[in-house]
Amino acid sequence: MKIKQMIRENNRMQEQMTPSNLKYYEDMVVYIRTSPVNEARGEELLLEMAQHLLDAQSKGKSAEEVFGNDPEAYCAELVENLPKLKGLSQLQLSLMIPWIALTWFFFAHALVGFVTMIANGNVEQMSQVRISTLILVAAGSYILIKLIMDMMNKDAFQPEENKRKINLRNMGIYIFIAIVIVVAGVWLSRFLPVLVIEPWMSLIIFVIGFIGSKVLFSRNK
Amino acid sequence: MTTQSQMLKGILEGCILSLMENREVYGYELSTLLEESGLTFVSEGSIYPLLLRMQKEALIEGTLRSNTGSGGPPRKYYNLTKKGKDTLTQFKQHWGTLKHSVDHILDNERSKR
Repeated sequence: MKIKQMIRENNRMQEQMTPSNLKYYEDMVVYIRTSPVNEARGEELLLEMAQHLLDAQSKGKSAEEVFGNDPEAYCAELVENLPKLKGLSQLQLSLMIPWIALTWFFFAHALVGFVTMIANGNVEQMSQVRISTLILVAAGSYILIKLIMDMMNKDAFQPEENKRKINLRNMGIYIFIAIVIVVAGVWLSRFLPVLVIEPWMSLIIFVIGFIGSKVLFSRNK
Repeated sequence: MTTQSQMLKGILEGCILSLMENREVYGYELSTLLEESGLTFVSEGSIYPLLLRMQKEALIEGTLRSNTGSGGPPRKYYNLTKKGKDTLTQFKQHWGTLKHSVDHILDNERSKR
C-alpha cells in the first residue's frame, strides 16, 4: 500500500473516532510523523493502531485504556523500535527543503524579470542575484522547517492552553531566527559577488529544479 | 528494566510467537487472545513496541492488506519467519526445563510441610 493511500485510510478511520479518542490519537500521529523514522513503516503502525483503537472503541474502551496514561513515553518507545530513516532518505530530506526553496526562488525571479521586461523596466538590474541571497534562501528555509518540525514533535502532548502559549513562544523564536538570518545575509552580501542571471535563464533553472525535485524526492521509488 | 519485567517480556514474546505459529494474527486479535488466556498483566498497547522489536529482530514479519473477502479495513497480519520458528522451538525447550525445575522445587517444599 502506498503512503498516500495509507494516509487517506487513516483520515477515514479518524472520522469514526470519538472526540476524546481522536484527540489522544491525533497527538500520537503528530509525534510519529515528526520523528525521524521510516515513513512507510510509521504510517503502517499508525494505521494499525487506529484500527485497534476503533475495535476497542466498539467495546467501550478509551484510548487511555488501550495505550496507557503516558502517551509521550509510549510513543517514544514506539519510535525507538521503528526502523530509522535510512542514510539516503535523511540526506534527501535535508536536501529537499533548500532545493525546493531555491527552485521557487528562481521561478519568482524569472516572473519578476519578465514582468519588468514587459513593462520596459530596467531588466539588467532585475537580473542581478546576490550569492548571499541564494545562501539566505537555502539556509533560512532549512533552519525554519527543521525548527518547526522539531517543535511540533516536542509539543505534541501538551494540553490545549499550553499549546497556545507555546505557539506564541515559537512565533517569537521564528521571528528572532528570521531576523538573525537576514542580518547574516546582509553582512555576507558585502563579501560575496553578484551574479547576473537573466529571466529566461532563471526559468530554465526553475524547470530543471522542478523536474529534479520530482526525480530526487519521489516517494514512490 | 527490572528482572521481573524482563522475564515477563521474554515469556510474552514466547507466547506471541506461539500464537502465530500456525496462522497469521493481527494486533487487536493478538491482544484479545492474550487477554483470553489470562495474561492480564499485558496492557493492550504494550504489544506494539514488542511487535516492532520482534520485526526488527526478524522473528516475525507483517503485511498490511485489506480483508479481500469482506472488503474490511486494512490490517497488518503477522506471521513467523524461519528465525521466529527456531526461536519458538528454543523457547518451548527452555520453558519446559524451567517449568519442570520450578514445579520440582515447589512440590518438594510442599511435601516437606
